[in-house]
Amino acid sequence: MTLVLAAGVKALPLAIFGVVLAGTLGITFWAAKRTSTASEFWAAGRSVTGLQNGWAIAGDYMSASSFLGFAGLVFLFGVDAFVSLMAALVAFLPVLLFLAERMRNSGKYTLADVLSFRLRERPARTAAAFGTLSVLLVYLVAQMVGAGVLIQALVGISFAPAVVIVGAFMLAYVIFGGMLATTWVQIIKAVILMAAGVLLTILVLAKFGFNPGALFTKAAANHEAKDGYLHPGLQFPTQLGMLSFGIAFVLGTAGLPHILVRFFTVPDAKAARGSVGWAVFLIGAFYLMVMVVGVGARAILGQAGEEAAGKGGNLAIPTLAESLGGGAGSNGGEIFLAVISAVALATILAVVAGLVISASGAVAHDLWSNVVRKGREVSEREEVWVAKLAAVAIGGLAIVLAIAGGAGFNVSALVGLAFCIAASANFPALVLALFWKRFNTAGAVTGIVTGVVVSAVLIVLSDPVWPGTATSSPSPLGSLAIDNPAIFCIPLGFLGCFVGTMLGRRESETTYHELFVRSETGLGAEGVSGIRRRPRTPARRGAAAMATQVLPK
Amino acid sequence: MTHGTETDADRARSESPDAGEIDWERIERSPEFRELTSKRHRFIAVASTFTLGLFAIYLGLATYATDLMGTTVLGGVPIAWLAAMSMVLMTWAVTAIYLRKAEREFGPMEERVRERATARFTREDDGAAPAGAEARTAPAAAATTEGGAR
Repeated sequence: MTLVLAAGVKALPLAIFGVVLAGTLGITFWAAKRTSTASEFWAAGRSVTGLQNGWAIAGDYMSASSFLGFAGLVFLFGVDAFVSLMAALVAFLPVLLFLAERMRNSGKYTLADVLSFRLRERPARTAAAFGTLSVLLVYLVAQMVGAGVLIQALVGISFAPAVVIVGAFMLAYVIFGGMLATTWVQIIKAVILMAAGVLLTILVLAKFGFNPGALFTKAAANHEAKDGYLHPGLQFPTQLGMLSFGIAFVLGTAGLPHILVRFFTVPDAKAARGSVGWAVFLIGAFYLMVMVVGVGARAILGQAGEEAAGKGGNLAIPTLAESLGGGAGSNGGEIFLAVISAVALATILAVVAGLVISASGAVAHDLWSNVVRKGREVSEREEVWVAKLAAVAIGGLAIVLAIAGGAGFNVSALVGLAFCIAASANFPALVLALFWKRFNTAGAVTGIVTGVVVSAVLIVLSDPVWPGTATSSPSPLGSLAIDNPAIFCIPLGFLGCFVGTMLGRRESETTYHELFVRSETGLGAEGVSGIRRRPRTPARRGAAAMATQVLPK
Repeated sequence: MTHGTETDADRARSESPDAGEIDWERIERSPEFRELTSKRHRFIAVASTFTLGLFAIYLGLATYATDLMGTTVLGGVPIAWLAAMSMVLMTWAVTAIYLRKAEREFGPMEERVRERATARFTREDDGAAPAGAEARTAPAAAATTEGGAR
């Protein structure tokens, strides 16, 4: 551990953490009374509005690594780290253009729903659940390790208890409050994260008379590379590494199960695309602020701040907050540091809860109900029970792995692996299932397995992991100090889909036509007006007819 | 809502009571549907090529043209920062354009496809001859598509 500061528990951060935790438990209590059916458990009863879902996506996506990690990387490496931020934002355009509405139109609770619609159910679901769980478990362990390190540094609770506390709250939200509680924890986290971002940005800019030129000049003067701080090239050892990293983010986001399942929580495709609009707006605004705050940390803290910021730069923001509040030891500094620490905690909780609930869907809905029990005699009650047990099992496994691995885990390599699998296993299979008529079960299974295996092998062989010594794991949260192999894995994932399809048995295209029409129009989707209820009430028909008249041609 | 007695794909189908009878291929061949998908897919192709192309240029410049990106303008601001901000603006703009287009154009077109599919089934339910119904509507719709294509 590079960040062991556990000289004792710090009272003020602990008190503010307590307030955050109490608030989230209140939400869970409220949500628990509204969560019993499978649709309520996994999809919040499709009751989330586009605006709410946009905030929730932002809360789901902006992990501690994008708040503390990205800002820390800007602090350490200057403009080089901007590239990662922009890749993470542009990534939402493939989500918007290819997947958001189509997911809502053709799925129910999991990514596998979309695949199994047109492919042979059991193999397709098993493969999709494998891809989903690989991404989620790896990402979850990364977040838990990051959480442990962070809480240890900020509050003084030592690593293992910190991981257990985070895990316990995460499971409480999911088990009692389901997707509704998870959604609101994410929304509230996004709100306080944005507020913290705005506050820090204004304070930083005010220090430099709202003159960005002065800010950058001071930051460069404070970096040992001087003008090199303003040139790309500090962060990535190789140019290929930088390109590959950008590509992993851009396509990986569109394969992240916990982001994609958020589209099942809204009533229709219109709300789904609207929610991406809000998410893109919020995340873009936040990343603009992260750039300023990261550069500001360099300009204000200087080279001397590097020690306080930790090796991965993860504590640059808390240290900056302390400094802006009046410096270490001052009341203002302590309070501001505690508040920012609480924001970081809320950030972690919201993300891990989202990961666990989507993993529970893959286990209970895909593997249990439709593969093990083949969908027979599985009541909704049973499905939800299995989901809760699965959440406990997955959460427990992640806690155990995080504690067992501890400092030995290279968090940035894990996050890189999660994005790499998402981009090379989940993304190709989903896109091809929606758009390629000839695609078949063999293609999906081959593609997903190829994507997962190739990603895992190449990450293990990459510089920061191989030969797996602790000396090569410097960054506890930043996802970025590694050679991400996505540039090789994504083409291989697509190739796997293609080769499998060509070698596999040709399948009936009837279900493809159905999936295609459904995904494009929302026909037959739960909650979308159309042909679902044959004896349509006159009122509904009238309303629909009016809608067509009112809408411009 | 789930019933818990079928596999999920079956369940999805059974959820729409008509689903078993729906001729999805016929909807897929219908002029409204083809107009919707061809227009929307063309937009998606252009928009994704444009955005990923711009991002690739940005990524390429950041990777290889480090001197250009490190040049400072406006009293100390590096071009890399302006380039990054332009990516944010580009993402916002493409998102806004797609949402607007979806709201004004694709949404109503989807609605038309759904309405027509519903209307056909209603007619069938009422005992009217589906073939006749289609014959009546098809030429008009075809004319619409031709008009729309120009």
